[in-house]
Amino acid sequence: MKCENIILLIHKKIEKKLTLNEEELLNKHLDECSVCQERVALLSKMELLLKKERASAPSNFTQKVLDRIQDKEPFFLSERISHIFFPRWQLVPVAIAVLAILVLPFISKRQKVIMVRFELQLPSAQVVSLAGDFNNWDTQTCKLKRQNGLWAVELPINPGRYQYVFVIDSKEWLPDPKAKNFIDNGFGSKNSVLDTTRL
Amino acid sequence: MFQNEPSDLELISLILSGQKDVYATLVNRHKDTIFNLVNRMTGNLQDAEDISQDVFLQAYKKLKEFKLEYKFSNWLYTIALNITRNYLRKKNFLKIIHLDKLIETEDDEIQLEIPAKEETIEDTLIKKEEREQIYQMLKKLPVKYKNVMFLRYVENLSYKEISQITGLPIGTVETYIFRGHKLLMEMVSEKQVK
Repeated sequence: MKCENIILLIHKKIEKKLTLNEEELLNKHLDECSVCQERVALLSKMELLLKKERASAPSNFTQKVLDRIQDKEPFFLSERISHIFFPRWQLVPVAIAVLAILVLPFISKRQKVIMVRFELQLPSAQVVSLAGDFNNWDTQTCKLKRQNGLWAVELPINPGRYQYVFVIDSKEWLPDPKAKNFIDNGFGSKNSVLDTTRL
Repeated sequence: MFQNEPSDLELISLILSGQKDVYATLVNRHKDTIFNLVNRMTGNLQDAEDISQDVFLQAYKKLKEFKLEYKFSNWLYTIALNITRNYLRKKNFLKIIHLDKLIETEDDEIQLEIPAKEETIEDTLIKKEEREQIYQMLKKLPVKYKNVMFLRYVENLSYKEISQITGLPIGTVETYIFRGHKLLMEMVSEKQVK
């Protein structure tokens, strides 16, 4: 059998696909052909080298990946820790709370309801909800949604004057520093005030 | 939370539900495999580190697109192949510009260097010269054959898995491996003639 036909059999041998008959043919040829013997040896050694010679990632590899992720998403790792330890007064400077009041005239003028968009820039929070006079201070139902670290919710609000706070991770109450007015809440901190009649 | 080691899928669902720092566990689990494969494909430890970081960065960014029926490691291989291919093309292009001479390169024909430094097989079944000779031979293969062979032998993957990772039909995967083998075997006869 010619070497050019044996090449296929050697390939099959490496891929462990030889039939008994083919194996016999191959062995017979190898007994007589040193070139093909060397070919078998080459492929076997190549397979072994590729399988066994392995490089490992540097020891600080994972940290570097996380650092790069954090660069793009600044509060990646810190967010789960910070909300546990930060006292409320520290949350205030961290948070760039914006009450962007997008006074979109509501479709029906008769209802005189306006849509108010509440925004809070606080990527370190896990859950942010809104509690105020307009929802009976329910801290659970009115959750803000996070998009790129910015928490936001839009609510239809009847005309009136309301006190409200952001509730961070179900425990920290955070007044909106950008609100136009604040009022003492009787517990040593302040509530933000939204007066839609003055908008 | 988990009785045994959490699976990749369990980790991914935790990350997607907001526990992003769990991603460190996923990176730790797969970093050596990806680094080793990329090191094979680039032949350069520094390139391998940069590219592997890019792989995990991109995987993180696209985690929402990961299909649960897919194997996470295979998905990483796909990302690794794409990034490495682009990286080598760019590098080769810059090399051509830098040398100010046009090297004829057919699509994927990019030179592979011998891996610079890595763990060697302890029982010296393969002598140092032989090892270098084998790497030199691999270097001469077209990249498209080499990549398939690396997935096959470095990662011990089936034709079906390689097909999923590369997007090539299974028959093409097998053909590339055969052609790679054939080219290597033909180099042996050339050597004999000389």
